[in-house]
Amino acid sequence: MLVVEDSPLYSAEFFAVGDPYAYLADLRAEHPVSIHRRPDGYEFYALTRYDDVYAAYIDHQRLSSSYGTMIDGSWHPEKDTASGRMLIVADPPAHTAIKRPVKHSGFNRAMLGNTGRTVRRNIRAALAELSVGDRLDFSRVVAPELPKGVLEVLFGVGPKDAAVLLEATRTMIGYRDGAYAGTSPLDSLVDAQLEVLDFVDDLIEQRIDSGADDDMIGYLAQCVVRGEMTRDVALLNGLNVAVGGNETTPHTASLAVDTIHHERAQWQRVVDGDVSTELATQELLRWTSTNSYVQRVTVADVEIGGYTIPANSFVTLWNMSANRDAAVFDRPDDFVIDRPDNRQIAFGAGVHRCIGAPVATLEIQTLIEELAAWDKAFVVVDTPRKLHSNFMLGLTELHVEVVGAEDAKDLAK
Amino acid sequence: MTDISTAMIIACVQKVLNKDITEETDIFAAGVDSLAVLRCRALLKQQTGVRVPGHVFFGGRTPAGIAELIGAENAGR
Ligand code: HEM
Repeated sequence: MLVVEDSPLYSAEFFAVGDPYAYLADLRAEHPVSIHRRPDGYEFYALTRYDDVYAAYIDHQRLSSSYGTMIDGSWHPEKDTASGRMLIVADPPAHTAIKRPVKHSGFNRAMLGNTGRTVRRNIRAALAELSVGDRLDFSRVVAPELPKGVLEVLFGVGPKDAAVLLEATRTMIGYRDGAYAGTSPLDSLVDAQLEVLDFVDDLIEQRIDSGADDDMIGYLAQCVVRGEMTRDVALLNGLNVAVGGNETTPHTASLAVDTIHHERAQWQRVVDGDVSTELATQELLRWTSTNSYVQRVTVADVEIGGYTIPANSFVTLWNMSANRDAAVFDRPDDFVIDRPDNRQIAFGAGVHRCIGAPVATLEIQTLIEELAAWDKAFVVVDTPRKLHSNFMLGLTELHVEVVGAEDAKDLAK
Repeated sequence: MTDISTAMIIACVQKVLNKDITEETDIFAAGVDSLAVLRCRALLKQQTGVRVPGHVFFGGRTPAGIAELIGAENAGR
């Protein structure tokens, strides 16, 4: 098996300025299962083929989430204190018990409808502010409107509070990227994490006092009151949903706008109504693969892709690579806006498959519906700045100019 | 920020962890995690009206160290 010493897969810099897709394509072709080492002794197995990634997701019995799902994930180097108590780092049966109330209260049909309406209102309001000739950073001006709408509904807060929470989760997750953290990254991470926890804990307290259960936080608070859930579990999963919701779709949205810019002729088919926004959304999700990988730990020997991975190993499942696997996708390295039978795996698979997938899909679809219906369009005017992260693929700067829709149509020719 | 003494920090940590500690105990070795820090800060806020920034807990590590950091941050203001 290939062993890569000092692997670029650890390097946030490589994902910002290098070509991780090309590197992963080589691994997929020649070394679908490989070992990656870091000078400090950290080592993980990397799965790069769609079928292997999928198989690993499904095998949650032998591939545990309890040890964190990021390489060197948190400020705390050992097994996380949230382990077994927060969805993303819990294994069944604890995972199942937490998932039920979260899904029931936050991700039911009524909530989804409400979220869609709120996100649409936010996007429309942001676009309505813009005039032809305006220049703006899409990633800061429009993209945050998506998760803001979700927070407003799931957490039952106003747009101002939602914006505060967004800012804090951003610092908490993006702490390795100077664009978000201040000069003392570790302090700002710790304070941001506690700010998010404080915020959610205050909401839980308010809902315990008021008895209201008409948003997700309220429902979880009433579970606490009835003794069905501890307050820490309610808090940790509020945090999980806030982070999962905030730090993903804005990046997908920015990458979508950049993709539209580069694929203007294909995009015109959506504007003209010849390609459905559903299909376009699925391809944008595949193409952007916002969450590049997740990590597991083997609790027993596991056979994957013809290799045996011994117990107690870190294993990484590369979504961004699986989403470019020629065994599953025709012309995998081309953006094909009407790609049929799109089996994109951007949301993972199995019991941990993104609980917010319907919400995220709706957010992106709503964005592109509104962009397609807009009498104006965005043109990218400067090289976008990529997020410095190997875990999240996104943009921290996307400078665009607003042009008339007809002018954008001419650019498509 | 009002004065927050080592004794106040010891009292809060003991209440949250439900075990005895001294002013030189490494509170993280004693079992404090980020949720426990949250609960300690909530207690301190009840008593003093002030929300202590979280990083002083991680930087100070012991009740004496934390109180000292709080004092130092105040002096810098
Ligand atoms: C395009 C946007 C998104 C992408 C690419 C994405 C990706 C993922 C992936 C790959 C997982 C699986 C993690 C694992 O198996 O370890 C996951 C889990 C999760 N996501 Fe998302 N996500 C997105 C949006 C959202 C949104 C909008 C929310 C909430 C509103 C959310 C909340 C969560 C939560 C709570 C989990 C943990 C689920 C569990 O462990 O059972 N995500 N996400």
